[in-house]
Amino acid sequence: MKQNKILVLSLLMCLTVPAVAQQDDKTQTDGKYIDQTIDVGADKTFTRGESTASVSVITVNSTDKRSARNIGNSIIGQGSGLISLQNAGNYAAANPTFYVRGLQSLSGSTPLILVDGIERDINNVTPEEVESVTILKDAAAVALYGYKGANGAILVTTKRGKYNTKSAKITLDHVFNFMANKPKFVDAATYGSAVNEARANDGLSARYSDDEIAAFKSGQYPYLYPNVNWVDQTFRDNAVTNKLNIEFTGGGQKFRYFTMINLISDNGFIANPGKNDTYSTQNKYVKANLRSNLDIDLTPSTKLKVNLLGVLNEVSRPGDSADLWNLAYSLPSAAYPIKDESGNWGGNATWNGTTNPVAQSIGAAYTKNNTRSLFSDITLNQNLSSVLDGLSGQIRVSYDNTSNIIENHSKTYVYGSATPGAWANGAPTVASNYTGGSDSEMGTDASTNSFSRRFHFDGGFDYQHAFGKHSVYSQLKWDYESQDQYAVNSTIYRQNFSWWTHYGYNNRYYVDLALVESASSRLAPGSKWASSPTLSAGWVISKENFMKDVKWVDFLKLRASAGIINADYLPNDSWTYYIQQYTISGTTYPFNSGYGSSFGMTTLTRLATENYTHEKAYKYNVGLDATLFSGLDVTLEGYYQHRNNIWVEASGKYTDVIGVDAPYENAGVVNSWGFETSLDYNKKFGEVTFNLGGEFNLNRNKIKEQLEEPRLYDNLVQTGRSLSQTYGLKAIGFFKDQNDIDNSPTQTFSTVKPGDIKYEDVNGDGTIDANDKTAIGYSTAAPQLYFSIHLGAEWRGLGIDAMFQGVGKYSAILNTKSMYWPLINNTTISQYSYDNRWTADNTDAKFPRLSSVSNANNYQTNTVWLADRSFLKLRNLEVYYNFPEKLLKSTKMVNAAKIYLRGVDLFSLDHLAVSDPESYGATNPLNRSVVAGLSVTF
Amino acid sequence: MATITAIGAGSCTDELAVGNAFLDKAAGASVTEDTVFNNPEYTRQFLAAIYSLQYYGLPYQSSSSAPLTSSYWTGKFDALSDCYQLHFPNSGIYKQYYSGTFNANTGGGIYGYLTENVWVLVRRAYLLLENIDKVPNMEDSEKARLCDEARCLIASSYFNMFRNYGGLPIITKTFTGTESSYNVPRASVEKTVNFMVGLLDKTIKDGNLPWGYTGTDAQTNTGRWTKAGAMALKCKILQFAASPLFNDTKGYYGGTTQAERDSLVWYGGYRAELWTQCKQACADFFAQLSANGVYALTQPTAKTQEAYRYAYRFGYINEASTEILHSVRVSTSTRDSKYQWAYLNYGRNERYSYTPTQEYVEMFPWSDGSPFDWSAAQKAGKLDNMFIKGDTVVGTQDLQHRVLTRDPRLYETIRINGVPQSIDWNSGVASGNIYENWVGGSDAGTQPGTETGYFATGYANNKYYAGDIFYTTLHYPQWDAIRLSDIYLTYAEALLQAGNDFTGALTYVDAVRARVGLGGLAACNPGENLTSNKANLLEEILRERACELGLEDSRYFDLVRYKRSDRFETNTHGLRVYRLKKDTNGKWARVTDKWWNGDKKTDKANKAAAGFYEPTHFDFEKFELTSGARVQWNGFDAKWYLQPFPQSEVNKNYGLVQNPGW
Repeated sequence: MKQNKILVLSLLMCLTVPAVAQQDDKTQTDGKYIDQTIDVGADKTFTRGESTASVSVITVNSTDKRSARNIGNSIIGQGSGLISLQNAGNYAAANPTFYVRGLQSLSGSTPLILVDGIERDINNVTPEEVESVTILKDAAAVALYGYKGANGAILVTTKRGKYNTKSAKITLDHVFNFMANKPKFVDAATYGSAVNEARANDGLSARYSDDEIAAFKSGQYPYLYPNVNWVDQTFRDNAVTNKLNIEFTGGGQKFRYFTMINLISDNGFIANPGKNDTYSTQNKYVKANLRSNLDIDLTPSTKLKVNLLGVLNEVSRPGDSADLWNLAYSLPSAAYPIKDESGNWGGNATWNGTTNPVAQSIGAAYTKNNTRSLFSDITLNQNLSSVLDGLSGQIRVSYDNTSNIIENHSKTYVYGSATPGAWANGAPTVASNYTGGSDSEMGTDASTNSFSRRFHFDGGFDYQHAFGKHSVYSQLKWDYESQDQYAVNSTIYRQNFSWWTHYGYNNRYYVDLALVESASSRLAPGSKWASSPTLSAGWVISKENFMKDVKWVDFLKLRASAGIINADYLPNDSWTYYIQQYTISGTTYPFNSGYGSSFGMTTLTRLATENYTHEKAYKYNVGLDATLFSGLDVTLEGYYQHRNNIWVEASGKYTDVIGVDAPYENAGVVNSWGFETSLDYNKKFGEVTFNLGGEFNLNRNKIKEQLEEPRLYDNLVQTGRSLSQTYGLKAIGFFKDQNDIDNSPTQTFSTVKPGDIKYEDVNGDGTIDANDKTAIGYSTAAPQLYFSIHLGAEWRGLGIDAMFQGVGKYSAILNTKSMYWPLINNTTISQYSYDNRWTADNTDAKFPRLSSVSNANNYQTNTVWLADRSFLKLRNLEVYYNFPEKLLKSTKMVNAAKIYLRGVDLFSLDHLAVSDPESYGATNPLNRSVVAGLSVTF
Repeated sequence: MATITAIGAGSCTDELAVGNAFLDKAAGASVTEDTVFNNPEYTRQFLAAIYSLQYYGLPYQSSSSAPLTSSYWTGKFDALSDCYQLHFPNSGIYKQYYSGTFNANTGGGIYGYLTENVWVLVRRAYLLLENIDKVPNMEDSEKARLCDEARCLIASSYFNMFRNYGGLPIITKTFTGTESSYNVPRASVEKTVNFMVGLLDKTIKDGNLPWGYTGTDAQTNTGRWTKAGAMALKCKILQFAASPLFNDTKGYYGGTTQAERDSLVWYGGYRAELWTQCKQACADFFAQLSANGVYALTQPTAKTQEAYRYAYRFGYINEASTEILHSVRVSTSTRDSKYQWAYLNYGRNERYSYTPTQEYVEMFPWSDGSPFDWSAAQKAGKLDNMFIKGDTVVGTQDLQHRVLTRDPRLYETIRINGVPQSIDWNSGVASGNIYENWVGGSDAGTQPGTETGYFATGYANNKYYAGDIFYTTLHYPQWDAIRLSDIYLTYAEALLQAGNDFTGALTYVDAVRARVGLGGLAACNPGENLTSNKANLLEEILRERACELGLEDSRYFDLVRYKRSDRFETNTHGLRVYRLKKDTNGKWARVTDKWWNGDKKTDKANKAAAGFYEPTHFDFEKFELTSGARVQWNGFDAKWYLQPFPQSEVNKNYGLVQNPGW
């Protein structure tokens, strides 16, 4: 595509003059399955009956069952084809990881996320402003997004107003949060004996005498021999979130509006936030969203759409944003007292006072983060029937901006503790008093942490016409986008020319053709442009004559699509991969006797890629949509994807003898395949409406080529396995005694002792080393199986709703410090680890012997630490009551009212005894929540 | 629409480009091949950067990236010889080589195939050769000189790799990344040698390189390859090639391995002409030397021990030395870089604990040149004077009329008990406190007793320290890649090997000895028939090389090229020195007291006290080293003569045949 073509197109668009037409925008509310609207970015939505793309829809009925902070968290577990994995963290930062159809490529598998058709961060979009979330899965669904759609897409569509109505709705959620799997670490006396045991195992002398361990136990000398439960002292057991949402929906003859204000405030788990007079050190989160979606009919043929979202968000955390959970996972109960005898915060030479989580949560003041975002877009649609019947033109401009500003009010503090000396007369003495740190004033720094902005423009013509049994919708569009980050020379420009055509015959046969020509500034000259054609077709079998008598089939449609989607991924984020860069530096080779030559030096970076292209996804999909027995909605999908030309680093293919880093090459190949089933049954038995359904996803993949270096042993070969497959050693028990060690192959990681992990000699070479690693378990990044079950019933306004969600074929490596890998680097030990350790008396243990110093043999990735990460969770449970209309009518004001009690993530069935399978690191435990809520519509 | 776009983009100051223009990458600081080779200054800098990739023979930093030999976590070749033992347990030498656990899968190594920047250097040198014609505003003569420097750089890097691996893939151009295959098989030893010698012959013949830099040129160009350097390097390459490792009637590993069958690790038989070629290269070198001058062994200004020491020291360490044929410098070196060789706590650090062995110390003859013999000295009661001799004068604390009794190079190479520590940079005079190497002494402390640290053997290294002078004065640490005395000894060896020229050989060895005041080799060793016994003379030449070229990568490769498994199997020794002090009964008894910082009495009133006088009487105990005991001491596997190629490279199937035994 050349510049002059663009100019012609632009001129044409400039000539467009307002004309006539008033279309009703379809919404997902209360739609039947067959009528669900499908939006593939063609400026027109289609019903499921008409669409040929593979798209699943999360409707407004289920987008807000979790009272979550944002839409991302509120749809966890939903959406056929969407793999959403919950993550832990502070309230402000906990966001799920999404995949559409699992892992797909060596370059990453992150899907495109769109809000109202434009790529946007959804972390600040509240569930209340969302009309629907659709999952765009196959090539036909993502074709129009050009280089960005290869990994599938999630499209969030916000609510809009309605002509000639008005209503106001107030929703209030009061959320009680509890910690699931709060970690338990041992008390000081147990810690002392564990350390002694570990040191004895390592051949070292005991650190604590019997007297000292008794002192830890008795608590008689709390300053010399403390016993602090850091988790309980730092954190309380529950926290509260409040959500208030007020929305106004409605419109007049020529005007529609949806306006919403949403307020969220969350108070975290810090146990004692109020110890300072003028400020709180609580983990706090406050956010306000203000959205206005306006549809204005300027003339009967000219429509203007304005979407505005402003977000102000403020987060306050204890001093220096310290990772308190990380500290609580490190500090032993015997380390030091919370405060020493003179009232200073505890701290000593081994465990610095800045590792004191209580001190950090109270005495270090606080840090504030402000995020300010604006999402704005304006669309102008002009009916051009005066020119040609069925023709209209549309342009859209969007500008988004986000910045994050950090204000650091933190301070430092003095810490110390008494160091015990030798015992005399049955009592300890004080050897010395340690002090460290210093008291400082609160900080005054403020700086911009991040910044990003995006400009989007698109414009085009569409033409709609029906004649006889034929119907055609065709759109020609140009879109342009620039995306700017908080960095230099990193702005991305992209543009797409697209021609998209939907053809229908007799309301039974549909064919869509997308021809997209995309360009990106990221790619090398000569490869910036790519053509992505997609063809898809649908056949509504239920409308055929031969189906007339099959009464139990209400709707049945077969779909198929095939398309090529290109991607503009950079090899290892290198923008200059196609030219070898020479770097001139000031340092010199000193030929000069004073080593002062003014010579600079020139060095070279990686070899340039020759014959470059870009990653390609060949996507194939077949699907079946059906409604059976007047209430059972069924979707079946099968897909196959072939990714090739994936960027890989070619050092495995070349030798270093070439004298320079091997170039990146478009050589990677990954195939992925899988299927999805979605069932939803709605039925009314007398006064009871009943709903039952479920979703099941299977996603598999295989690396076919990645220029892997040739391996000496088959067990090391990764090509042919799945993406992010876990590799490790196979444990075959623990060494019983020295005799057992002597009679086993040598393990080279470190000198082994009885109680250390014994490994299988996988390659059979007689020694155990890194060459014995092999594929163990599954991926730790994404599960292969993902499923959910939902059920609900309602009787006279009283209802119950529940959703269970689970995963399978998913692995974890339990390497969390203290919790599973205890004591090393002066960390503590969990009760669980302590109870399951190997000792001479308990040789049948789960975990190996304790060690006090780094034990390279045991702390390898291996099957002892490998865990089955599959689970089944009750994601949400709701009991609600809708007040009867009759009653409400008498108020003359209230049109609807609902009270509800929700439970979020109330339980998990899994294989981990003391951790959550979705979060087992040294971080915030996941929450369980109970919500009391009320919504009133006026 | 234009209006709307303009408003939308109004928040940016960048011009809004339409069409392909906006897809262009923003202008950045990118420099390409064309930029470099369109500018003579950049081209010169490009060559300077190649120089910075040269092998530097001293560890001086803590780094896990190439070149690994620059890191003290790896260790130096000399610590694999019988002259030094390294006592840093976390070094690669100690952990992998002494323990014998090193193998083709370990990665790294003392001279890793992929971790020494050799191939990077080779590529860049060819880039220069291939592109220099394009450079504008540069005289052809300068272009020719830069090219010949690049050829020397290629040849010297190849040689560094060759002496560790044998035959190598021969690279003759740059790879672009578009080649359909990367078949770069190992070449035979013969081809590899011919390749290196061919590059050097071209530069020698072309005559574009100066013979040497003198005067002000030397101030700004020392370190560049010269014709003298190229000719000397050729001698060293041919010496290695002609030595028995590669040039024998039988392959060193028995002859049946594939690498041996393909002549990748030897010539496939004995070729006498290789020594003749080596001799000829040396003869050519010395002919040019006498014609052009510039280089000469640094000669003493007087026939005193001080003058000899100074001549030797100046010769190897001083920037203005006329004895260094090619030196390598560390480009980022500044005096204050704390990881610089010698700057890590004055070299008083376990990481640099290259402790000389008793075997090494005994190689140094008496100061007149006659060989040192422990049992003879012991019998004669001369052990107390085996390093130093002097008189205790009543009322004077320090030893008077102090005489160093051994080869002056011993004191320059090793920190010896009783020798004054403080060295004058401009003379051979040493003064101040003496080294107290005895168990409990101020310097050695407990180290010889526990066999740890930089005095673990009872001796500490002094080469490239010269006391603390490298640290305390601003003398830049250039490392001698080729030194003139090395070529003297190489010529001596070649004369003997090529034509049994005993007289010629002795002339060149004796020239090196004379510079430090030692008598003629034959005269000093009357029992060894050095004018007729080839084996004995060869042994003496190798010994002389060890004494002359400590920490210059000489001894280890000498043992390798002569397949001296006997020396590799020697469990080396240290020396525990015990200070003797008269007890209350007037009997000499061992004490572990320090003297200075200890019982040294400074008030003259105390001169009758035992601690007043400098200790002069010691017990000596040789002990077998046990720390870092080498598996090779219990039997040397011939595979250790060469390094293994990384298995991951062999697996790539581009033609690397693994070395025998690995």
